[in-house]
Amino acid sequence: MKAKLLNFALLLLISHGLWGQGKYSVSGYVKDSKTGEVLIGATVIVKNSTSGTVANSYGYFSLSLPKGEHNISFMYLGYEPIEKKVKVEKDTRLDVEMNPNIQEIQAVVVSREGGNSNVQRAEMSLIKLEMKNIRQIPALMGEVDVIKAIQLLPGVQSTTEGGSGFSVRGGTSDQNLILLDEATVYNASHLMGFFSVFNNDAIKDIKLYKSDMPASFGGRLSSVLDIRMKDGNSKQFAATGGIGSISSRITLEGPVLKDKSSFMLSGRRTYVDVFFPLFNNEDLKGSSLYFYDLNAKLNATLNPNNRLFVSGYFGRDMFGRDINGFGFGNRTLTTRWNHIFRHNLFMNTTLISSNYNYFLESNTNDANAIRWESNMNEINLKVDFNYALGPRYQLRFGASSALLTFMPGLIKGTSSKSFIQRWEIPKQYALEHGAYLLNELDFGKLSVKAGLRLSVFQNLGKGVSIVLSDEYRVIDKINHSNGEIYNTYINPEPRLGMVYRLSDSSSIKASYSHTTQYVQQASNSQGGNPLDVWFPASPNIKPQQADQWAIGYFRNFLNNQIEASAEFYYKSVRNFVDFKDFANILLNDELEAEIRQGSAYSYGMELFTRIGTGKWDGWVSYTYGRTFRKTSGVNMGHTYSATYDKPHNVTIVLSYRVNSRVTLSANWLYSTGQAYTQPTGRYEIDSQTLPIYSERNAKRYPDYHRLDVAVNIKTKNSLNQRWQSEWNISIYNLYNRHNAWAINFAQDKDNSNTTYAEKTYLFPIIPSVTYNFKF
Amino acid sequence: MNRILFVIALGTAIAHACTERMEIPLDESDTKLIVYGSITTDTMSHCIKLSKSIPFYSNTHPQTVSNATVYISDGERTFPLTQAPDKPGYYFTESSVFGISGVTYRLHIDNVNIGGITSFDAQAQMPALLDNYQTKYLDSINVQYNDYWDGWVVNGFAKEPENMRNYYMFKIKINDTYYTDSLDNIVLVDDKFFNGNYTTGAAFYFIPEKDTLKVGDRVTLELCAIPEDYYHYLSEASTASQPQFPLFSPPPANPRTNINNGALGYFAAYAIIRASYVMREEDFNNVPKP
Repeated sequence: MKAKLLNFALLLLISHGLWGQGKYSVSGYVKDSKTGEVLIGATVIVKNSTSGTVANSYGYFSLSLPKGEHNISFMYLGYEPIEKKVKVEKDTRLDVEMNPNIQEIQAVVVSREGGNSNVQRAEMSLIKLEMKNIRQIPALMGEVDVIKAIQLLPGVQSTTEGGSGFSVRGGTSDQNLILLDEATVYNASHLMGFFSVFNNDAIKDIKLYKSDMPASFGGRLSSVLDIRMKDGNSKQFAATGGIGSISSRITLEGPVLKDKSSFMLSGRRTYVDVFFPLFNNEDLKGSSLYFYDLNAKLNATLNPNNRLFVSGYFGRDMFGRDINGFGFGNRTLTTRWNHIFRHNLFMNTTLISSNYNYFLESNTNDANAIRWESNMNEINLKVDFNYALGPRYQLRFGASSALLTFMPGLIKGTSSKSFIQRWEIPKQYALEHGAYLLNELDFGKLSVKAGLRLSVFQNLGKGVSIVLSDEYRVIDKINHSNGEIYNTYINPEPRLGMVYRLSDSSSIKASYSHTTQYVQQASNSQGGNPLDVWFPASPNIKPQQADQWAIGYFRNFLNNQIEASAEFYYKSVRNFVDFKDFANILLNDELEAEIRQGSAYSYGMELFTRIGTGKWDGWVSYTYGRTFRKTSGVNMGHTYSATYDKPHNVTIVLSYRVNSRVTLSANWLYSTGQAYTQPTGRYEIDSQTLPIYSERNAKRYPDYHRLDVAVNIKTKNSLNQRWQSEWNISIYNLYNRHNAWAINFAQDKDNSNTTYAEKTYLFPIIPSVTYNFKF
Repeated sequence: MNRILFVIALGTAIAHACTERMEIPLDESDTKLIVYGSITTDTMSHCIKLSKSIPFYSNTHPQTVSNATVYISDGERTFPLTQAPDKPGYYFTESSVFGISGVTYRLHIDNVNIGGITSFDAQAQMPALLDNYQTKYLDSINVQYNDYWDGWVVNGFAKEPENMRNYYMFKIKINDTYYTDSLDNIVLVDDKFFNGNYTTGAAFYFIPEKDTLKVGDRVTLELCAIPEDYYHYLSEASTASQPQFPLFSPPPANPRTNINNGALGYFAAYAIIRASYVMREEDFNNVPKP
């Protein structure tokens, strides 16, 4: 570790020698000319030179150029490229507005920033999704979903069919850092995972980092899913909406002060339960089952150098029957201030609050009346700087500090007769700090992105820590006073990415990242459920640490219309959090005694081809990926496959534009069946048959495959009028394959000596229709 | 808590699940000895059942194990168990035997042959109970019809002993027959949520079939004070007997055992405390008529 650190320090030092002399900066925002939305990741290239950059997450770019006249071109997918002639004699501000390209707008699902930047940049294992086009992907019940689209990418697996959990390169679903406007979303699922919390209409930009995570992100091992909400149209009022088979949504946006300030307000609600009274079913009467989401954002440009944003998300799922209720949901609030100190020094300060909570209650007004609550809260302050020091040198640095509050479980009696009056798992508090430095250096053919993150995690009183024996029995409990820091972990996390450009259209890239995770989810089931609680590292629970190496070959064909890549990765995890057999993870004040820490490793190859010819769009991918775990005390200490260790994966996502109004699209997915544990014998205890199991996850489900199709039809006259609308008709699982969601081994009800295997499948062929509009 | 989880299950069930049978070949594990039985504070013939595991798809009943030598000892005394002539595999003590609070019992099995192993042992400690425990844990019960749950609820009135971590198993007897007849319908309770509280009519047991009871029936609640390890065993065995579903089920595994030499099952020692209620005519007033 020491040697590694030294190397990084050296690299950071050398890099300072590359400061530009006699250079001036050209900087500004890149925006959409129709809506005023900033264009995150727009490519900025200086003609006849190798200089170039991309607009950051706030749409701001900064270049350092020698004195003289330069042609700077701006490119962004779905927009007409712009070229600006700039005479650089001093630091120059250049705000650019780009026109959306009507012909291209329906073109691509996975974004290509245009040109060959996918080959040229020192970033790998990064995928951007274009929101306005995701809705073309055929989807379950027509509810196109960000997370469902991500699950179609190479190296990403859904943890269960139809669920919102996903595994990136063999990681668990709690190893993904899911950010909505920089706020952590602790549970991204609605309705048991069949839908995610992200409402398409409110979202502008999606990035998934699969391994080469920039040092500005920390806290999770496997991936970062960075989702940004729309700022709101600053030019004119607009409304977008849709009416689907099970939910409807509406988004309103517009200027508060034209070109200065805008708002966005978006809502969505399902309405399955609205139809319950029609079923005439006693069980459904008085039942509720719905979810809703609200996204809101307000932004103001105070002056060219200062912008303020406030954005929030509030969503909730409610299930209930008369006197029983169950609800869960997330709440996030982000306040951001973008400040430009000098043309080449950009600062973003963010104050974030994020919360996930749930409750279950029984309002019987007798001895059984109780309410069970759980709550996870985060308050985070972070500062990020972008410093363009030279034409070939970008420096990013920043720090963050978060206060985390865990309330794993509280049970309150809600009637004076309640037999449980109050029972609580002591709250836990923790501080998570991070500081990072990230250099981007360009040496011509070789570009290097070197970063170092220092993460610090502290358990904070007031709290109770438990002392465990070697056999994981609780032998003592220690009370910590308010404000006492009773445990600290410090970890340096080096990150390195590089590209060697073989030609304009091909390159070799490599990356290494070390990541640390201090906060994880107590989830013992394959798919997870809303009751799973988050818990921190502690004196007993060591932080999970991952090292990942990746190397890839990138090549574009046909004038960048086809992008192909082959990536290979190896990831190993230390202190992997596993659970002992039959671990009791709910309402357990001694949860740490149920945890066993072991190791995990994954390796694989991802072949990916993106096609964007204008007529044809989409991607074809093949992934070979394996993932294993080894934990003493679990599966007799033997190595075992994770349930989503599905070696072979093929995904084809294609759309074909028939004409300006009609687009056809289809997905085909194939994967090896998931790993599972089979019984090898049976016996009887107290008239109940019990199976005997041997090795965990040693066998596999039948292979999974499925074809979905969809057609998108824009209504006539929609192009020139303000009211635009389209129909989306989709069919999920077209050839009605009964893919196993669960396999059980059961006994015949009439003859207990007859046993058989039985699969449960969730979704047969499901057609659906959605109507979307915009004005 | 299970009842609340049901609400969640409802949400999942609405998501339209279908099942179909499949042909899946299975490996076969070695035959294992299965031991299950207990000694309780009741004065009676205590029973230990011995059987063998079979391949999962075998179309027979698990075989019982006869002609074994079985005894329970408490260090000072030894209680031999003899096989009932009409129930092979079931071994009983004499009817005068009873277990005592806090005592450790050892089960010894000999003269069997499971893959070459001939003798097996287990040890179980009876929980240490309050003196005169028969009157300390449970005052009374009543049985009420609950419209919302659509069945009979057995409510308990009790002062839970303070300053002791207790684990309970609830069983129901209607007249002389156990309504609780398998692992599937026992109720397990950990007192951590209500330690030392007075429970005034908390739901201890639920009988979902409304026709189960009639006027004059005597409903007996057996409150069994069980050791922590046995509590976990029962909870694990009950989980293992349930179907697997991705959202809720833990990874499949074999429940713990306190029998040595690779055998499965459990030998338990626990106390039984009882309260009864005789069904009255007015208890049926709000039962919906068919």
